[in-house]
Amino acid sequence: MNLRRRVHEHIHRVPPHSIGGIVSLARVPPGQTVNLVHIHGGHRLRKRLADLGLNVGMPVRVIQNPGFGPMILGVKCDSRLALGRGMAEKIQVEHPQI
Amino acid sequence: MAANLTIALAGNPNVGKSTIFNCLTGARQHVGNWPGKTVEKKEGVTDIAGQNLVVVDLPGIYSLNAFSPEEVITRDFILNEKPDVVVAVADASNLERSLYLVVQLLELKVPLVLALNMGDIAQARGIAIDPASISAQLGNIPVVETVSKHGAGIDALKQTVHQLVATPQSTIPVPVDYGEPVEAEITALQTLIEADPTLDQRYDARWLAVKLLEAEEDILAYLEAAGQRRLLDAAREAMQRIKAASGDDSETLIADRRYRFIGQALNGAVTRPSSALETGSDRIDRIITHRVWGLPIFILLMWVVFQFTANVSAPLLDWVDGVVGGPVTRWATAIFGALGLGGSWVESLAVDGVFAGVGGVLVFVPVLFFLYLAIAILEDSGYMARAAFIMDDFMRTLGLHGKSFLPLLVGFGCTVPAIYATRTLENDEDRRLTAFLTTFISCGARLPVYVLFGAAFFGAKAGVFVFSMYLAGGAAAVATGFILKSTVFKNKSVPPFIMEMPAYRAPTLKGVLLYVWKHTSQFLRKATTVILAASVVLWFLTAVPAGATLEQSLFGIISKALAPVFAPAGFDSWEATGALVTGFVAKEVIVSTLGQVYLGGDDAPAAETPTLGEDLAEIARSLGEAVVLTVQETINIVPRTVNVIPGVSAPEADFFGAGEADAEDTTELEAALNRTFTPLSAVAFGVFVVLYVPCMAAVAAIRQEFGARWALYQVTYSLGVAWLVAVVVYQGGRLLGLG
Ligand SMILES: Nc1nc2c(ncn2[C@@H]2O[C@H](COP(=O)(O)OP(=O)(O)OP(=O)(O)O)[C@@H](O)[C@H]2O)c(=O)[nH]1
Ligand SMILES: [Mg+2]
Repeated sequence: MNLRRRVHEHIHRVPPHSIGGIVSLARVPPGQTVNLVHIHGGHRLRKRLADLGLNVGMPVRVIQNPGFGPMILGVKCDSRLALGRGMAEKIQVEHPQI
Repeated sequence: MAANLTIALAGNPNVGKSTIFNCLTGARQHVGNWPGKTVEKKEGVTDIAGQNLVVVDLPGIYSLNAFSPEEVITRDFILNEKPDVVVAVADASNLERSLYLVVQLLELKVPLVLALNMGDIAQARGIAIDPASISAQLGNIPVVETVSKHGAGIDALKQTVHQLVATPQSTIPVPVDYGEPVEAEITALQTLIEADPTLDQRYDARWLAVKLLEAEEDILAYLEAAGQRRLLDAAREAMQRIKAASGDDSETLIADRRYRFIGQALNGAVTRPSSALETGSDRIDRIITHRVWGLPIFILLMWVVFQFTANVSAPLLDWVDGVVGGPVTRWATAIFGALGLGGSWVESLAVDGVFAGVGGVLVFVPVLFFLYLAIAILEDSGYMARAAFIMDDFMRTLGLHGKSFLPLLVGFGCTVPAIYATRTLENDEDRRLTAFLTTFISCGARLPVYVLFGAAFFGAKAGVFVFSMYLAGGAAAVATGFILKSTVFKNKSVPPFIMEMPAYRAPTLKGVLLYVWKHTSQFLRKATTVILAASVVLWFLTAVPAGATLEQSLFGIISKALAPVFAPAGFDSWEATGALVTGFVAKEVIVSTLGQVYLGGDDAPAAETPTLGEDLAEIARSLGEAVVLTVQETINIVPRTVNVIPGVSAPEADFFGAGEADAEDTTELEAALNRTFTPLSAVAFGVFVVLYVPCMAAVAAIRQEFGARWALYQVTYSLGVAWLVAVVVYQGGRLLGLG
C-alpha cells in the first residue's frame, strides 16, 4: 500500500505523461505487460473498469495499440477488452518491478 | 412452499446463459457470439425429477453494480424477486473475470449453483480446472461443468439444482476478507443496519454495508428515498476515513480484495500452459481489427452479404414466384370452379386478395433466408464486437460510440429488436439517438421492395440498385446523427468505449439454423397474420363500392387524393401512393399491395392448362435448376467482387449457358411496374421506402422504450426526410437528363 500511496502523491504533483516509469496506458506498445497505478476519473467509471478487471494494482497486457483509435487489452489472462483511447489516456501504468 | 420454484440464470455477458436456458427449457432464445444479446428477462419451464420449475434467462452483467438498463433488469430480479436458486454461469476459459460476479452473489447469500460453461474452449487452450477444489474454496457451493453448446452437463446441472431445492443449505460463510481498515468500517455499518428492522429484514446486513462502502448509486438513492440519512452519513464518513488511512478509495480496495480472493481460490484449482499468451483470436484480430485493413475488410464483408442476399437468392425466388403464380393459382381456380364458386367474390377474395397479396410476399422468403443466414454467421463468429471496435472512431463523429453500432447492425435484420438492443447502452441520450438512427437502417422487410424494383428496372444490375438503397439508408442515418448531435444532443458527452471482445469461434450449424429459422418463421407468421389481414382489408377497399373499377374503388379514391403529394418525387400514380400508405403496417405489405392492384384485377390468360402431373414434374425440375443456379451465384460472388476493381474482368460461372439477363423472363408484376414507373422514379420510390417510418411494430417499440413523443418525432422526421430525399433524387436526376 505504501508504494501505491507514493505513486498517488507523485501523480498529483507532476502532470501525467512526464513521469519516468509511469506513463499513460495509451502510450504502452503492444506486447508489454504493465501494472495499473492510477485511474483519473469518477467513482462510476472506476467501478465499471474494476468490474471488468481493470483495478489499481492489477497487471494489464497491451495486445493492440496502433497509436490512435481504441486499443485491445488482455486482462486477467483470458479476457480481451477494447478500450477507447480517451479512456486509456486516463489510466496511469508502470512496468512491474522484477 | 411456493407452487413454482424459480431458477435464475445469471452471469457475465456471452458466457452461454441463453444456450443453457435453451437446453433446459427447449426454448429457442437468441444466442450469438457478442456481449449483450439478451436484453430482457425470458421465462421458460423445465422439468426436474417430475417437478416443474420456472427458469429465468437474464441479460448478462459484470457485477451487481448495474450500469445500463438491461443490467438493471438482472440486478433487480436477483435482489427483489429472490429466485429460489441462482445458477451462476461462468466461462471456464475466462474464469477469473467470471468469478468476480460469482463472489458478489456469494456475498448476497443467494442459494447458488456454479456452472462452469465452455469447458471445451478451456480444454482447447490447455487450461485444466479442478471443480472440487473451486467448490471447496467458495464455501462448498455445488459446481457443475457444462458445455452447453453440446448439451453436455445439463443433466448434472438439473440434478444439482434438484438437490439444492430438496435440501436447502443454510447460509454460506462470508468468504471475502476486505482487510483493515475496511473490515472495521463494515462491522460498524453492519451494527447500524442491524439496529434498523426495516433494513435488516430486507437486506443481508454485511452485504449492504459493503455496498455502501462501494458507493453503489442505486442503493444510495434507495436509502436516500427511504429517509436513511444517518446511515448514509455514516457511510460517507467511513469512506473518508478509509481513504485517509490507506490512500485508496474504498471501492478500489474492495475490488482489489475480491480479485485477490478469486486469485487465491483459483490457485491450485486451475493450471494453464505458461506459453499461451497470444491466442488464435489475437492473431486473427491483428488483421481484422487492423487500423488500416479493418475498415476495407468490413466493407468487403458487407458487400459480400448483399451479393449473397440479392443475387444468390434470386434463382430460388424465381422458383417460388413461378410456383405460386402458376400452378398454385391454377389449382385454386380449378378447385373453386369444381365447387361451383368460379367467378364468385369468394374466388376473387382468395385469388386477387390473398394469393396476390400474401403470395407476393412469400416469394421473398428465399431472400430473407439468405439475409438471416449471413447475419447469423456474422453474429456467431464473434465479428459483431469487432465491427463495433472498427466503427468506434466513426461513430464518435456522430456523437456516439462503437457500441451503438451493434443495434445498427441488428437493424439490418429487423428494426424492432434493434430498438430493444439499445438497452445495452449506458445512458439514455445515447439510446434515444441510436434508436432514432436504427430506423433508417434498411431491415429485411424492406428488401423485397428493392429486389422487386431492381429486377424490374435494372436487370443484371439489380444488386447495385439494392446496395444503393442500403447506402441511402446508411447515409440518412449518418446525416441524422450529425443533425441531432449538433441540435438536440448538443451537450451530450460521448461515453468512453469499453467493450469485451469475445474470442472468435466457428459458427455452429445449430446456432445459425436457429437464428435463421427464428427470423424466417417470424416473417412467415407475419405473412399469415398481419399481411393476410392487410390483404383482406385491401381487397375489400378495392371491391367497394360494388361494380366499380379499381380506380373508382374506395382504395383508389383515397390513394388518388394523396397522390399529388408525391408528384415532385415522380411517383404520383395512385397505385404507388396506395402501396406506400399500406406500407405503414409493415413494409412487405408494399409488395403485396402492388401485387394486388396490378395483378388482382386482370385474369391471367391461361393459354394451355397442364395436367397436375405435368405441373408437379415442372415444379420439381425448376427446383433442381434453381438449386444449381444458387450454387452458381454463390461462386459468382467472387468474380463479381473482383470485377468491381476497374480494369479487371473475371469470367462468371454460367452453368446453363443462359448468358445473363436476356434469358430471364420478367414477371407480370415487373412488366406492370414498367408501365407506371421510369427507372428514375423507381429509384426515388425505393429511397422513399428505405427512409419512411419502418412499420407499426417499430413505432410501438420506440413508444414503449422512449415514450409517445419520441415516437411521434420519429414518424414526422422520417416522413419529412423520405419525401425530401425522394424529391431531390427525382428532380436531380431529371436535371442530369436521366428522367
Ligand atoms: N464453445 C462453446 N461455445 C458455447 C458454449 N455455450 C455457449 N456457447 C456459445 O457462446 C456464445 C454465447 O452464448 P449465449 O448463450 O448467447 O450467451 P449469453 O450468456 O446468453 O449472452 P448474453 O445474452 O449476451 O448475456 C454463442 O455463440 C454460443 O453458441 C459452450 O459450452 N462451448
Ligand atoms: Mg443471453
